[in-house]
Amino acid sequence: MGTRTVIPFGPQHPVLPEPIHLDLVLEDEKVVEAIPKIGYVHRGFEKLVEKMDFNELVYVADRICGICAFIHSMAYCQGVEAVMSVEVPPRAEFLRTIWSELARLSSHLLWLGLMADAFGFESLFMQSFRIREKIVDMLEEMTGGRIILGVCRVGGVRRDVPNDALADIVRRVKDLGVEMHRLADVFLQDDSVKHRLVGVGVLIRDQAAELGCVGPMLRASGVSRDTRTLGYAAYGSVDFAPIVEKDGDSYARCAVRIRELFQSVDLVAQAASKIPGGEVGVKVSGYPEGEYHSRCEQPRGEVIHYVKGDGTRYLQRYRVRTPTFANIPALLRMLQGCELADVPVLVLTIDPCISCTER
Amino acid sequence: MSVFGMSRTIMRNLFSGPATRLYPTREKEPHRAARSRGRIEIDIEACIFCSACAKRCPTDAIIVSKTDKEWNIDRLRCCTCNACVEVCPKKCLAMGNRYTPPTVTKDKDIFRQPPRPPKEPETIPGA
Amino acid sequence: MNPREHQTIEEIPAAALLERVQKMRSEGWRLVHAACTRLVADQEVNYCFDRDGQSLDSPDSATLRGMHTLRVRLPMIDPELPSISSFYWPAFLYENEMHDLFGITVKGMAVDFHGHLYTTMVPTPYVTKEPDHGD
Repeated sequence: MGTRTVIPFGPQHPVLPEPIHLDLVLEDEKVVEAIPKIGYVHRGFEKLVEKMDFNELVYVADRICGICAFIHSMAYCQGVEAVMSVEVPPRAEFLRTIWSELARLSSHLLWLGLMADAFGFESLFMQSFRIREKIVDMLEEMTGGRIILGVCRVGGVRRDVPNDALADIVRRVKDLGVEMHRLADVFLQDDSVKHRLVGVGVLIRDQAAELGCVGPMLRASGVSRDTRTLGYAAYGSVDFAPIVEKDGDSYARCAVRIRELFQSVDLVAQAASKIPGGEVGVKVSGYPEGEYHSRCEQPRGEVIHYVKGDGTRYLQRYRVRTPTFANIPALLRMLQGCELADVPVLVLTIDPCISCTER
Repeated sequence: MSVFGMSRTIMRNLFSGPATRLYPTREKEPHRAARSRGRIEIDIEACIFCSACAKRCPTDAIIVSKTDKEWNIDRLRCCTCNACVEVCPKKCLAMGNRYTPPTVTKDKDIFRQPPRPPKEPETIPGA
Repeated sequence: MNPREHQTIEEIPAAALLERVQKMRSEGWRLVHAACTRLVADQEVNYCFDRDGQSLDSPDSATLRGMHTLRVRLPMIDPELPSISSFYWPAFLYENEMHDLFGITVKGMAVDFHGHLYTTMVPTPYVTKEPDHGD
């Protein structure tokens, strides 16, 4: 039994892309307790509903997060559309699906890169970002934006993509799939990577469910829950099954995200082959009155956009519950009993996105 | 295989040249970014100073003055959402593909319409 | 076209919250989200629950998906709630947020930040500052 030491971790730390602070209570090299502190980047986005009308708020929703931007705006638009009973044209639904899968690819590749960086494999990090850059280029070609796509609007999407351009994108994404396979081999088979990930931060199935985990965190522990199965946008028309791993350690979480890369490639191809013609947006008139919890599957898990309107231009309440918010309790539980050297890996393994958590 | 999984990729990268560009000297090929939302361009001659763009702008980056015949934009506030281009009745606004160059001062880009001769506006051809 | 989720709302008094939440838990619902809304004269707190997309009205139906919301109305001044973190441990984050942004005193939180989760210039900005639409 050693003496207890408290080590502050963050808010600025080489491994952290965003500010979160943890007070780590250590006994020798073992963490016995972790006390979180967030709130460094709280910007009061939700209060902005008072200044911006519900159409302008799409631009705000787009900018909540820098790595899952599109799905935020899509979830917001779906919420307002549900409140106003707007039927979105099917072509717009398919385009939203394609873009959200490409956004997932870009986000997962970013995470893989950061993860490689966290366990000290710099060239793997560069390789992930090299592939990601091509995905981001594709998004720019289709929508005009690299990260913040700015193409969603209430009632549809703002830009159409011709079918031949879509076919070209599918061909290029499939080509990238080959490169991703090489990347995946390193992540899943390299001994030095396995050494850092296998058996680190185990969450068993019941724990993960109890702690309210979402997304890859939950699926890595063997729970098959994926918000996409609710069939929003065009997910009802494409064929897929949630990706589940059993072990619940950092390696399993890595494996879930890697397998989701290939799932996303497949979903982009499926959606592009089934996309119907027609309009990409309907005109929306009137003001929202009512409330709705809109749910989407982000790369990090389930996101909730709560929209409540009182029949005026301005919404009464807009609330975003991001997946990282739901995964923080699990992080605290995982940190108990881990080695100090594993803390960076564990913090990254929940794919933290603090800025969108605090909004 | 398990330890040298990365070496094939590394060898390939060694002989395929860098994946990045030397940015200021080599810019991105424009055909790739034909739809890019770079920055707002204005054809000031055609502008009627109706202020529709300023009203629609979610970040209040655009200020229009009808009396001074002046249209100005704060490039650092502008979020290139394209809303002003969509709403412009004269189609004098356009979304350029090039990004605003980096800057060290928070200046506004001011566009002023040259004063037209006050009389007989119909007969004088545009400059 | 995908059918929209069927979302139900059940308004309950604050005194019945714990009992109702306990029942939800024993029925296997998971806590999705909890949030507060400022209304004109009072405020409301929503607790959303989900059971793998089932709707409360017809749990067997595979097509009718949805989630269930428990709603508690609270006064604007000195609102108080019991904590549900004894049933759903992760709820402490939501409850600390309610405390910091809406000024709701939540009793018995599993982890209490004592108002230090969010640092804002104005305390409880969502209730103390009147909505101001600008123009």
